[in-house]
This record gives sequence, C-alpha cells and structure tokens, in this order.
Amino acid sequence: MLFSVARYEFRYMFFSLPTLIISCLLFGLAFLFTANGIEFQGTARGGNVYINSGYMIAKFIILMSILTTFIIPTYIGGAVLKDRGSHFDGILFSTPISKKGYIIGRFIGAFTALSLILVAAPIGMFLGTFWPWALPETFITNEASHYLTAFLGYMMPSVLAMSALIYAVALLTRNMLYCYFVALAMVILFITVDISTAISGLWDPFMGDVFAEESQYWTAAERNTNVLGFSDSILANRLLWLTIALSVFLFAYRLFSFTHVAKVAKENPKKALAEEKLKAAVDVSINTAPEWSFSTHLQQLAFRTKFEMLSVIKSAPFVILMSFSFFLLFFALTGRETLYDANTYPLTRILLSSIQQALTGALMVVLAFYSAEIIWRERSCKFNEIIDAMPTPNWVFAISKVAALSLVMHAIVLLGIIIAIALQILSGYENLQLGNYIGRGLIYYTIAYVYLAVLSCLFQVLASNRMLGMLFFIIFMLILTMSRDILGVEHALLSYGLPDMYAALSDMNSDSRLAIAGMWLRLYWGSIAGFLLIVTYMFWPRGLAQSFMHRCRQLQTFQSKGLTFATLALLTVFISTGSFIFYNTNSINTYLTMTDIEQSKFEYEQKYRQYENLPMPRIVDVKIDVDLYPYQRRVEARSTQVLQNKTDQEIKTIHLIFPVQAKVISVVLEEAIQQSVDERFGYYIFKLNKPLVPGGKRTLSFETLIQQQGFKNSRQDITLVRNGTFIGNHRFTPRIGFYPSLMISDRNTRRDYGLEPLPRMAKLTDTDSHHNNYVSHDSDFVEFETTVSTVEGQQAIAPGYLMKEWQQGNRRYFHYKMDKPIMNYYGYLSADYEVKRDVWNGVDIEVYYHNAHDYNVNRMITSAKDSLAYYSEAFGEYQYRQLRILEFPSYRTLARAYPNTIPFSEGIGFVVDNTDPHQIDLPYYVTAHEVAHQWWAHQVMAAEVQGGTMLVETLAQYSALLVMEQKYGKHQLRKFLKYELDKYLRGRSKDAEGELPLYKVEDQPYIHYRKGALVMYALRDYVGEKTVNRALKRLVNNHAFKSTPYAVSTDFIGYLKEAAGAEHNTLIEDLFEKITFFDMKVSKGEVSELADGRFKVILAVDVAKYYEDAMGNKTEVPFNFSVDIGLFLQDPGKRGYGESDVLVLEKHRLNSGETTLEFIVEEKPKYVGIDPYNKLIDRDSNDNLSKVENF
Amino acid sequence: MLSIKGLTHIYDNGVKALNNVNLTIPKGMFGLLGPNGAGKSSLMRTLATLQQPTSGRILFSEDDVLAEPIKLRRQLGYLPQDFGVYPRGSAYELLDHLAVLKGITNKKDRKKTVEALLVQTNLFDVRNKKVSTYSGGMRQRFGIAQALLGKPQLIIVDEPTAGLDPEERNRFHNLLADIGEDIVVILSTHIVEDVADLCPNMAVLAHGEIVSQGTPKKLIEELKGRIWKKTIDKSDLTQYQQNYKVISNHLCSGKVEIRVELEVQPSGFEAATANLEDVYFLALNQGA
Repeated sequence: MLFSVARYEFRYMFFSLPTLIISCLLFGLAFLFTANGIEFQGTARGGNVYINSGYMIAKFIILMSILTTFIIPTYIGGAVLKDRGSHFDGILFSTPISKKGYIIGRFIGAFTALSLILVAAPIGMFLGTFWPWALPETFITNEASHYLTAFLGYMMPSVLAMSALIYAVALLTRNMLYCYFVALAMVILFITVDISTAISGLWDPFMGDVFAEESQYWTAAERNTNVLGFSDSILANRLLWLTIALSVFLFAYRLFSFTHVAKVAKENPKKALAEEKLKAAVDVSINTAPEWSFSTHLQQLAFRTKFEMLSVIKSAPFVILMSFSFFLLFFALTGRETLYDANTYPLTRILLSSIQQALTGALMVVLAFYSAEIIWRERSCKFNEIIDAMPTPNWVFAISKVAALSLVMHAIVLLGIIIAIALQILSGYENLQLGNYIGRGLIYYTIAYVYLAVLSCLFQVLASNRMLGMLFFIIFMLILTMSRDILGVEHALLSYGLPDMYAALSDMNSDSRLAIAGMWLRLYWGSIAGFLLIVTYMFWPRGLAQSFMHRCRQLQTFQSKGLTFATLALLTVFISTGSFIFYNTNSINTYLTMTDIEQSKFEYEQKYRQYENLPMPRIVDVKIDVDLYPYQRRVEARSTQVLQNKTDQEIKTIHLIFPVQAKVISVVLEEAIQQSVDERFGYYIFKLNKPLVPGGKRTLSFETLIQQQGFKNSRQDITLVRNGTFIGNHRFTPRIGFYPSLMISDRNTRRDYGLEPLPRMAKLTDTDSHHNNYVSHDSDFVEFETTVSTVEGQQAIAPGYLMKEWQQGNRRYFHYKMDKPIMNYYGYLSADYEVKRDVWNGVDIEVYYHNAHDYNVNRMITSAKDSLAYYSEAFGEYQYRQLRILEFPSYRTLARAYPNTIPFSEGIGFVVDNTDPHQIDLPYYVTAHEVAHQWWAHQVMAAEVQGGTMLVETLAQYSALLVMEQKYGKHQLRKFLKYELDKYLRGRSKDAEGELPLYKVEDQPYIHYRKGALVMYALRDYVGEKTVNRALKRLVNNHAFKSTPYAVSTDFIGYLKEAAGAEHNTLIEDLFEKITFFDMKVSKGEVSELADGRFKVILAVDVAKYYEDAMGNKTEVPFNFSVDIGLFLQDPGKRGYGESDVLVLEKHRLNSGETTLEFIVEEKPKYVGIDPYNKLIDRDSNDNLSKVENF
Repeated sequence: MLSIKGLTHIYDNGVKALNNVNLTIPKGMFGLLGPNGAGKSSLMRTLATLQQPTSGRILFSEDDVLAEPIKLRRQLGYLPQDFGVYPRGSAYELLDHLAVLKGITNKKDRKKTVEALLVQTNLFDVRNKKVSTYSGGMRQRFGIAQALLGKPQLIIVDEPTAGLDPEERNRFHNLLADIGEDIVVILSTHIVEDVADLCPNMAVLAHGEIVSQGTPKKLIEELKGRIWKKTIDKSDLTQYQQNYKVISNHLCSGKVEIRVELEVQPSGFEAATANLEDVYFLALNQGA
C-alpha cells in the first residue's frame, strides 16, 4: 500500500513539465557556475581558491538549497493539496487507503521526486568542470566525496526538514498559501540570522551561517584542501532542524483526519419577522443596468483596489509576514555597530540604512511569494471563470493587484520606520527627521519595489503556474543584480528597479544632490514599469489558460484611444528621462565601462611605461592657492612648485601627469618647451632648454580647474559637497614622471591583457626604492604654503598654521603656512564648523565639528592630550604647535592624518554612543591612532618597499593601544585584541595573493593594522614597554624627517633586537619575520577546597606552535615559551569584568604538548585560562578559557 | 441575435473540441443538449469570451465578439459549470462586489439590485452566510443571481442542474423561466427534461458538431408515427440492437423497454408517442 502510493505519487510529480524546466534551470545554473567560474573569481574568491574545491562546492550547494524554498511547496505541499484542488479527496478518502499509507506514501513519493530534481545541481557543477572552454587553472581534481557530502549532508537535510515542515502545514491547513509562508519564513529567518550577531547560526535552516562561521578563518590552502565534514556545530544545526521538522510532522500526522467536516449553511424557513419584513420591502423588479463611462472604470478600480488591499491586510498570512518582518527589522535596527562593535546614536540616517540593509533582499523574496498569491487569488478559489467574464477591463485587475503588492512593500518598510522611531524615542533621541523617513524610506527606497512588483506580476501573468512565475522572477533578479559582474552591463539605463542604488545621507551635508541621479532613474524606471503594466494588462489571463499563441492573438482586441495615449505618454517620459540621464552620464560626464578603464590603463602602460626609469626631478616647494566653490561644484587651483634634480644624472625631459578629471588651464615649466600633450591621460612632456644638472631647480606653474556637472553613471562624487568638502591634493595637482599606480594591478586582468603580473610592492631588499616614500612617489619632505578660499559661512582648512584670514566680496580667504617640511600629501576641507579649543603644553588642540555632533568632542580632546603627552615622552617631541581634528560627511568612514590636521569622518567617531563603559571607546582610540601618525608618517616616513606600512600603521596601532591601556587598564583591552584577532584571521582567509610576515607586509590592512596591533602588544608584554619604546625612540632619532634613505622595517627590528637582547630573538622573529600560530587550550580545570579554606586549582594546558606559508600550509615547530596563565572570578569576556576579578595572572614557561599546573589560592576561581587576553595569535581563541569544575 | 459561424476549436493536445459549429440563436431560451464531453463547455466558454477558438466567428447583435470581447461582456451573464468563490465572502458581499465589476457603481442602485436578486433567487435569508458553505442548490441559485446582475442581454448557463435534487432543479427551472423572452439565454445541459421544460429552441451537440437543431416541437413532429416501443427481456437486448435501430432503452420493472425508429411498425412493437428524448438520442446516434 505505502509503496504503491509512493510510486504513484513519484510518477505524478516527477514526470511533469515543471520538473523538466526546474531540473534544466538548476543544472544550467550549476553548470555555468563551474564552467564559467572565471567570472566569479574576482568577486567570490580572489583567485586562489579552485571553483570545484570542497569549500566552493559547499557554498554553492548551500546557496542552491535556499533557492529550493521556491520549489518545495509545489512538490511537497502539492502532494496532499492536489486532491482537494481537483475535488478528488472525496473519492480518495472513502477508499480503504490507510492514513499511514496516504501520508507517508505521498510524502516519500513526492520527496523522492524532489530529490531527483535537486540532484541536477551537483551533477551540473560536476559536469561543468569538463566544459572544454572552462579555464583549467580554476579547477583541481574532482573529489566525489565533496559533492556527496555537500549534497547529501548539507543540502538534503535542509530540504528534508523544510519538506517535512511544509508537508505538516499542508496536512493541517489544507492550504497551499500557508506552505508558501513556511518557505518565506525560512528565508526570512535565514536573512535574520545572517545579519544579526545576536542569534546563533544554529537557527539558520540552511546552515549557511554555521558554515560561514566555520570556514571564516580558512586560508586559501584550507579552502582548497579541507575535506567537508560534520563539525559539532554543523551536526547540531542539522539535528536541530530535523528534530523540529520531525516533531511538527508527527504532530500533524496525529491531528490529520480524512473526514473533513465542512461547515454548511442551512436555509432557515422560520426567520424572524423583521427579516421577513425586510424581505417584503425589497422591490424584486429592480435590476439596474450599468452605465459605461471611464468614470465607471475608475470607480471599479477604486473598489477593486480597496478590496485587494483589504484582502491582503485581513489575511492571516499578512499578520505572519509582518511578524517575520518585525523580527528581522528589530535585530537589524538594534545592532547598529560600527567599527570595533561600537554602538552609534540612533540617527535617522543610520536607522534608515539598517532598514535598507535588512530589507533589500527580503523584500524581493516577499515580492516573489506575494505576487503569486495575489495574482492567483481568483484562480486558486476557482472564482476566476465568473470574474473573468465580467465586463471589467483588465487594467482594473492589473492595477489593483499591483497596488495591493505595493501596499505590502510599504507596510513592511513602514514597520521598520515605526520600530526605528520607537527606538529613537525610547533612547531619548529627539531629532527624528521624519522627512527623511518619508522621502528616503517610504518613497525613494520603496518605489523601486513597486516597480519590481509590476515585474513580478508580469511574470506571474505570463507563467503557466505560480512556482514558475516565482522562479522566473528570482532568476531574473539574480541576473539583474549580478549583471555588472557577469554580463558587463554597467549603464544605469539598462538597470531596472534595483533599490541598492542608494544615495548616502549625512547629517552634516543635508543637501540631497547625491539622490538626484536616483530620482531621475526612478522616473525613468517608472515609465518602464508603465510599459510592463500595459503588457501585464494585455496578457491578463481570462478564463482557460491557453497557449501563448492564442494569447498573442487576443492582443488584437486592445485598440483604444486610452491605450494609445498612455503608451505615447509613457514613451515621452521614457525618451525624455532616458535622454536626460544619458545626457548626464555620457555627454556632460564621461561614461567609462570597467573594460574602457582597463583598456585605458593598458594603453597608458603600453605607451608610457618605457619612461618608468627616466630620471625625474622631485618637488621640494609647494605654493598653492585653491578656491573652493561648494555650491557650484567647482575647484580652482593655481600653484607654483619648485622641482629639484635629486638624482646624480642630468635631466633632459620632465613628464607631468595631471589627473584626468581636472582641466588644465595653463602649465608653464621654467626654461622648457612643451614637447607633447596627451589629453587622454593628462600626460605632458616638457623638453628642457638646457639639461637640469644634479641639484638644479626649475619652477613649475600651473592652473587647474575641476567643474562638476550633472551626475555620472557610477558613484557620485562625494568629495566636493555643499557642506563638508574634503578633497585631497592629487585631484588637482600633477604627478611628476611615470606614475605606476595608474597601471592595471589585478593579476587576472593583467593576464587577460597579456601582461606580466606587477609586484604588489618593491622587495625589502630593493635599496633603490629605499629612497621613495609610500605616500608620494615624486617628492620627499617639501615646504608648504597655501591660500584657500571658500564661500561665506564656511571655514576652509588645510595643513599648516593660519597666517591670515580675510573676506573679499562674499568669499572668505585663509592663508596657511607650514614652518617645517611636510610630506607632499595634503587636503582641503570646508564646512560650517563649530570649534572647540584646548591647550596642552603650548600645543593648541582644536576640534572642528558639525554643531549637532558634540557628543564625543571632549573625548577626542582628552585623547589628543593623553596621546601628545605619552608620545612626546616616549618617542620624542611633537613637531607642531597645533593639532586639529575636523569632521567631514560620512560618505567615507575613515580618519586621515595630515600634518597637524586630522580629517575625521562623521560616521566613525562623532556619532558613537559611548555611554556604555564596557564598549571600546572608538573616538578615543581613533584619535590616538591618528595623533600617533604625527610621529609614524610625519616624522618617520617609511620607504615604499615591503614592510613600509608596518612602520606607519602598526606603530600607530601600538601607540594607540598604550594610550588606551593607560586610560582604561589592561584588563579592558581583551575585547579590542579579540576583535583584532578575528579581523586578522578573516582578512588572511580572503587575501588573493597570499599572506606575508609582518616585516614584509605589502600594504595589507589585515596585517599592518590587525596583526600589527596583536604583535606589538605581545612584544610589549614579553620584552617590556621601556625596551620597545627605547627602540622606537631610536627609530625617531635616526630617521625623523629623513628621506635619504627612508626607514625600513628591518631598521626597527634591528633596534628592537639590540634593545631586547638575544634572549628575545626567537620571539621577535616569530612575531615579525614569520607567520606564526600558537595553538593553546585549557584541557582541564579543576578546583577543590582545602582543609584550611583555601582552594587548590589543577590546570592542564595543551600548547603547540606552527608556522604557515603564504597560502596557509602548516609546519609544526616546538613550543618553548612563557605564556600567561590566569585564574578568574569572572569570565574575562563578560561585561563588567575588571581588575578585581583577577586572582592570578602570571607567565609560565611551557613546552609543546600537555602540561599540568597547580595553584593554591585564597578565593575560589570560576574561570581558568591560558593566554586569556589573546595576546598571541591563536586560531581558536575560544578554548583558551574554561570554566572550572568542582571536586 | 447570436450567430456562430464555422467555430472550430482544437486543444493543444490535439483534441478537437468543436468542429465547424454553425448556429444562429434567437432571443429566448435556447437549449444546447449534448452528452458529457460533447464540447458544450468549450462552446460556452468561447461564447463567454473565456477561450479563444482556433477559427470561426461569433457575432452578437452584429458585433464581432472575438474582436471586441468587452462589448459582449457588458451584456453577458455567465454561470460556469463549476465555480468557487472568495472563501470569506457572503452572498450579499459577493453580489455587491460583482455588481461593481458589472458596472453598477451607484451604491444605492447596487443595494437595491442585489437585494432584489437575493429575493428572486430565494437567498435573502442566507445572504449574510458565506457562499463557500452553501449547498449545491443554493450555490447554483447564487450563480444565477450573479449572472442576472446588470440586465444582461445574453445569459449563458452551463450545466446548471447537474447534481441538483428534483426540488432544487424545479426551483431552478422556475428561475430560468422567469428570466424573460426578450434576451438570449443559452442553457447547456445533458438533461433532456431541462430543454423540454424550458426551451423554445434547441440544438444537439455531439463530438463537437451540431447534429440537430430546431424547435423541440418541430423536431418531435418530424418523428411522429415513426417511434415504436416494446418491452423485452434484458437478455434479448443485444439481439434487438443488432436487428433494429434501437434509439433508447430503459429499465422498467425488471424488463427493458426499447424504442426504435422506423417508417413502418415492426412486428411485436406498439406505437409510441415521440418525445424530445427520442429526438436527442436519434441525433446522437446519427452523429456517431
């Protein structure tokens, strides 16, 4: 019985048209993913991970299992619901079929069919590797076990759990709609778990989060070679979901009964008298004939729209959907972490962007599901034949349904906004900016989804069943969002309704110019949506589903003036907005595709690389006047610079490269004639009348202009804005000589153009490069003087001391001059600022900020003072009389150190909410870091070779850490170190070209910031602060303001080794010269009370040490090292942990393998740990701590 | 009034549902009689603009229905063979809703119209109950009520009495009879009594073709004196069927009464009064 039911069900489900289509789709997607893997290389893998490695297979298969959500309801829910749909249930349930046979048999049959369909995915991936045109270097040997584990172990349990849940819901509700809602719930749960750090990955039904967490630190080598398996967390996740599904399934099984008691209305002959009277009063002869006019249709539209909307709002699924959304939005809105998990104030712009982050994908999924529900409403209750014969025009139906869908979209966004406002009110934040919520949230953002709603309705109207309609929509969206990477479609005019074209908001610059391009696009999309709506209405299904040919024949019936008029109107909007956008992107701005840019870089290299080694003079003196016009989006620069021949050769030609975005008004080089100009690259060659002898000087004068107009196709310019301009010098000043950074740097792209790979950086041993610094290749320390002007009401700031300030007409002028040479690296800021001033030891400290952002200004000042005090004591004196911190809009989230001038983004320090004392004090830390650059960059400059950024960024990290430790104590730093460790381990797993030891770092941020902080902190811990600072002081003494040569990392390591003595050589080498990992864990921690009331702690620790190479291959080496051992009254990771919770924290020398230690202490510890503060780099830092067991 | 010219419909799977159907349907009740699977519903749906035929034309009051379906829909009342409703709607709400779709946008007029129809179809007492809980007969009456909304000039009812008990069927017949004679009403059915009771004009559809048409009276007239009946044993039926043109047989007290059509009285048969059933079965046999 069971078998025959299953067999029948299998045949029914498997041999069908949708099965064929879906199998082909899955196969095709998987096949393309592998066969065309090179397209995914840039985005997904960085180049070192093979497309058919276990890691990639698992990732792709997990992704596919999310896609199955759209298929499962039809196959599994359909297994029991089709009887009801076809009224076959009456016959079936009266046959002697057993409940078990029916329920289990049907499930097995349908699930088997589903499984066979899904097999298409791994098969497609596997066969993709044999595609003759696929690049062989993207593959390794296929391992059958990877496909099996990923499919059977990762995908199928998810599918089985989902199937069981959906099947149970189908049995209980006998309604397909709820099946789809279970599927939708699972996707939303997945997104919630994904975006929220507060929810464990265990709750991800597709295990995507668990796998991501597990593989987050995998290096390229591990991604390629790790065998997929079942770790505890994966196993727990799989079991949890199977258990949930099984329980719900059993519950449904118990409850299900064949007898379906239908409610029947009975006519009641004995009605109340009142009712009879009412009836008698009815005039039976009345039957109003309709009157037909356009207003009749408008009234029908209004009625229908109200009906559709009410049907949505009143339905149970809507309530369920809103609860899911609440869940998703709540987690997104409460976790507003910026850097270092620091929480921000609930600013409207931040909450809006949280809402968008949470909803961007989710709303598309909701659209896919809900459009099916709304479009198929009549057909699913079989009311369609009556409704379809009604004299109501198709457009009434089409528009009302799209309106109902838009309502759903708006309702969800509105829910987000309500939660956001509630959070703002609860936390006492008053500047709600309702206008932004409405303008940017409900209109600008959500309207894109209305356009997508039209599209998804069209797909549902064209598709022969709802599942296909959904799949078409989802696949279309995938293609649309990835079209830039895969298809090379880049022009905004070819996009449709992609809401991520987000125009950033800033409190400082409330001007909405950045949204203008988006507004025009929305108008343009609107006209496309109008066309799609017309197509939807023309293909509106009436009556029987007929072949496409029949439906096309029906089109001839649409001939009306209204339609012609609407089409013409839309066409007018389409053409006018389209041309206007095109005019902006291609006419007044230059439109360049990625390929155009690559091609241009390629040609630049072909044409000018021959001059790479030509001797060039260097800039030694800069005088520059800059006029900023923030309202007119204009910058004018006039400069006179002195070039000096610092080489030992005679120089006959001088090359200048102006930035292409700037217009060169004039350029004059003393005693030289302009030999050639290449406008395309801004490449000017001057022939000198007589050669420039070594040491000789020439004056260069030039005038440039930046005038921005309209909007560009790509990201809008965010440097020159109404309030908060922040623009760097290289946007309008030329570089001297061939500039290598303008060549194609990506290895894969270079290969495509037949170019040899470029080294990321010169080797440490390349002593020629020791004479170049890494911020400007054409100059060393220069004299600097500038006059900057801006509009009335704003202050303009540049490095240097303010010499003079005046007003002329309606412009303000500021003259700045530096009294010491600086790096040729400066920028201009202009905004309406508040200023807070303070003084430390004769140094003026000034913070320039947006008037609403005074939250952390005092912290920044304190940090600046603490930093100046510590650094000048430890490293040498501060070279300037002034230190300025300047806020700029949060379009960029960074802080930069110019000489005596620190631009600091609105987004990272000014709006951080530091009321929680357990949180990392971000403004304090960032300020300390940037102040440290006044030493590490502006005094000691590194050569442009490997390890250069170690001297700049790592040392700034070290300095900031010490200032923080002074203020907050060493026990509070654990959180910071743990964060750095995590970022380092993640960073190295993504490095496309391989990791290097710290002293050879090639501008890799995860090494010079993250690992750098850890290494320096450990170093300080082992050799002592005084020793490290002695070495640093020597570095400053020997290298400050020195450019011949610049400092290199080995200089510092040399001083360090001398200062620390030979005993620390191994440590220093492990930390700086090797990629070293420590594997330390507590294997046992027991405590027992002694007779005297004291406590005996027995602690077993396990340690190992190994080195890794660039790709992550390991070699174990002996561990012989002192490590912190700690006994604590509290978990050091917990909030509120502090000094008083430490019982013991001391170093013990350990060797590889297990060691048992014993302690007698006065108080009973709760936690024990080895290297509890994560000073040493350990890939699994969580097992360093353990709760003690009582004996 | 309604004329169908050369209507042919072939489904995607090759089934020829309608084969060159030509019909002219005057005002008044028109019965379209045919067995299950004859193509009745295909024809009804095509007339109701819910299906595009493969070829052919349909004209209603000189308007081309296929070219301008909206014109026909404005004059159409359609009761499909099998229908559902929005699960949560009461009869009043649904009729009100459909009335709007039919163009009765004035609220007061609509209320009056809907109430009148509810009384007419005897659903007034249950007007606030959900239609999805109605019995078969109530549901069909609801169906006719909605078809009558907005004074249609053409009413198409597809198998309305299938599955109704005699009392309900009677009620339904009465309802149809009241509709009036100055509009076109097409009643498709496989039940001869429906047509006999109601229709002044009729046609028989079999295998997608019209095999007979005319007024029932005239069609019966043509058979006058040519129908003979005999009561025989059940076991002899096959033999008789081979020897005579048996147009129908039905059981009668354990025996079988057969009816044959012949110019002259066959021996052992007695004369029978021709009825519409004879017309129907004869038409079917000829069509086969």
